[in-house]
Parts: sequence; structure tokens; C-alpha cells
Amino acid sequence: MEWGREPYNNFTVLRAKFDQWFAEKAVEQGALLVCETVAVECIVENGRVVGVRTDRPDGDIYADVVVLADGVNSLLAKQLGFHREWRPDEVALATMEILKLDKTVIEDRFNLEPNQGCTIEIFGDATKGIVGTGFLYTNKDTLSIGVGTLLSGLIKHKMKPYDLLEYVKNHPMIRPYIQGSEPVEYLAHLIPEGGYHSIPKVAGNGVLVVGDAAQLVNAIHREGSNMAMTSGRLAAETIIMAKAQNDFSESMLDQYRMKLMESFIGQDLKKYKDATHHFERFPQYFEQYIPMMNRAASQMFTVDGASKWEKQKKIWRDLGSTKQKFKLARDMMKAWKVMK
Amino acid sequence: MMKAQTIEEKQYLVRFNADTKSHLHVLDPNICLTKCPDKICTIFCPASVYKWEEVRMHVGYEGCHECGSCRIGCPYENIQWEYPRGGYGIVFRLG
Repeated sequence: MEWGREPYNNFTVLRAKFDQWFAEKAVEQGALLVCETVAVECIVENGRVVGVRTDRPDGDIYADVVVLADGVNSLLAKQLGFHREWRPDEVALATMEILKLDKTVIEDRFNLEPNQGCTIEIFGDATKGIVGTGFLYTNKDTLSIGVGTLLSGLIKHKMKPYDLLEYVKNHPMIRPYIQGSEPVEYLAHLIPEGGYHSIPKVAGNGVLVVGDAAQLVNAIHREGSNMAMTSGRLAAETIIMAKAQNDFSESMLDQYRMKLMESFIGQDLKKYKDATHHFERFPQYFEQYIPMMNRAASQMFTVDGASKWEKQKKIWRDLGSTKQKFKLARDMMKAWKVMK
Repeated sequence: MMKAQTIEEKQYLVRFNADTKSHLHVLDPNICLTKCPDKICTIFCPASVYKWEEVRMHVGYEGCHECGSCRIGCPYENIQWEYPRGGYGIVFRLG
């Protein structure tokens, strides 16, 4: 319950509203906000980024340091050669719907005080054996429901992302939560989930890369917005330092990379550096073991006259031959290794 | 009863300010025709922007969510992907 008091653990936000509010904070501090403009390339002079070219007429903007925050597609860092094109197993495709539902119904249904929210993470059957998760968040008078899987998984299973979303919405475990609600918006977005190994070069002469553009997402814990904001702060602190010494070279700005790696961002991404790839490479976890655990739990808790010892024996038998049991044990050890 | 089940119905919930020219381009139409039996972009695109019409790929860029999946997921790197011009493209009202 301490999460329900200040400073609050986290928030569910509607990005269209949040982003405007957040940008306004920068404007209050003196930033000039230019909207409806595409930054098409970095202006590079003598091996140094000196600004960005936009799609406005006479739209070149010059700066001591350019902070690339262009999101998961990260076209500008790619142009600079900081990373190659992402592979389909380095990005997750998430689809989501905003569902309108009466405020009092949300509070009753999710057991909430006014202004409290709740998040439900959906793991297992929701992604039909593909590596990924679903989510259900409460907002004030809407719900956000979505499901994301690695793009490589959708390709391999030839699955339409919106069909998967419908599957989740109609799942008997989920349907009662969203009953009576009305879809008001549908969205699709990529999430960079390559993790530690996919972090590109993040500092160059006159340039830094932050947030999704630098693959700063902890897919296991569903953290990303916090990492984006924190990396932005670390970038700003580095630039303030660079400005004091009037040195915007890569060797100076590389302080940002060091700060990033020492912070919880670098540490957490390092902790899970092999997790997503492990579960992607060995599909038995999502395809076999999760359903197996569900079946075992279901048998154990079914009251049908069979004793718990008999049930345990049956569950043990259902795990398969001795060889299969050894394989299972080995896989569990490996899973522990990539998560610990 | 759940509403907005089909992708067409879902797309109806989204506001777009479509440009007059496409920001998505199939680089070599021949590759789709001869090398790509799965036409996998027609399956994983979350907005069903890509539709195979017998011999050619129809690109309904007007309904694009600008997610980038097609650029990354095309097995032949055959899709040129840019953001729409400033002021055009998808308009997120809420999420």
C-alpha cells in the first residue's frame, strides 16, 4: 500500500497527453519547442555533428550537441553508423486499444480508491507460445489493453498482431475485466527489446543518443519511460559539464556512456542481457513449459477424490521420460542463469 | 460483446492526417512477385497497410501507424521507410 502514497511507485499515462505535459515542462525552463517538423538528417562537418536538417524550408538547426531522441526506429543514429538496422528479434511489436469505461465501474471492478490505478501483466497463453506479454492498465475513465511479441515471433508463426489482440481481449481470464467497455483508439508501436547487447554507440563528436533510440528498455520488468527520462537527464548533465569546458568532442561526451552504464539502466540491462534471446532461441519455455505448469497447478487444485499424492505422481509422470525430465531440469537451470 | 473486432473497424478508431504522397515505397516490386511467397508484410503489419493484389503490392500508406515493422521485418529489405512530412501522418489522441 505504500505505493499508493507519495512519492508513488509508478503511473499509467496516456502518452498523447503526458508527452505534451512533459514537453511543456521543458518549455517552462526556456526550451523552444518546434512541432510538426521532421528531423531528416544530422548535419556533419569535419567529422562532428553540428546540427540537424529538418523538412522545413531553411530548416537547418545548429547546436553544440545534438541529442538524438527519435525513438525506436532511430533513423538518425543509424545514418551516423552508430548501429545497423535492427533485427526482427531486437524489437517487439505491441498493439493496444484504449477502452472507454465508466470511472466508478473501473474503481469497483479493479478494487481501487479514487485516483488509484492498477496494472495487470498477462503472461503465458496470451501470446500463443510466442515470446511476449500482454498488459491491462487502468486509467481514469479508460483501460489500456495490449499485447506485444517479438517481431521475429510474429513472422515465424505467421500471426497477425491484431488477431492476437482480439484473442487476448476475448480470453476468459481477461474478458470479464473489459466487459461493457468501448474501444476508442487502436495503436501499434515497436518496443526496442534487444537489451544490453543491442545498445548502440551512444556518444560521438557533438552527439548523444537517449531512450528508445539507444534500445534502453528493460523488457523483463516493463521499464522504458523511466530509462528514457533518466538517460535524458544524464545526457543533459554531461552536456552542462561539456559546456563548462567548451569541449563537445566524443572523448568528453563519452562521460554520458559511462554514467549510463553505472546507473540502474546499464546495470539492469546487463543483468538480463541474455534473457530475451534465450527464450526466443529455445521456444520450449513458452510453447511447452508454461502450459505444463498451468496443467500441473490445475490438476493439483482440482478436487475430484484423488489424493494429492496420486496427483503429484501423475504430474511427475506427465513430465515425460527420465531423459525428458533431465532436459527440463537443465532448461530450468539455464533460465535461472539468464535471469539471476 | 466486444466491438472493433476486425482490423478495418480498429483502423476506424484512429485519426490520420494523410499526405498526398506515400512515405512508404516498395523498392523492387519484382522481389515481392518472384521471391517472397509468404508476403509476410501483409501478415505482420499491424494496420494491414500492405495488401497483395494478384501481381503487385498495394501500399495503403494513409493508415500507417509509423511503427517501422515493415522496414525491419521485410526479409528482403525491400521497403523504403521514412516518416511522413511534418504535420502529416497518424495523430494519437489518447494512448
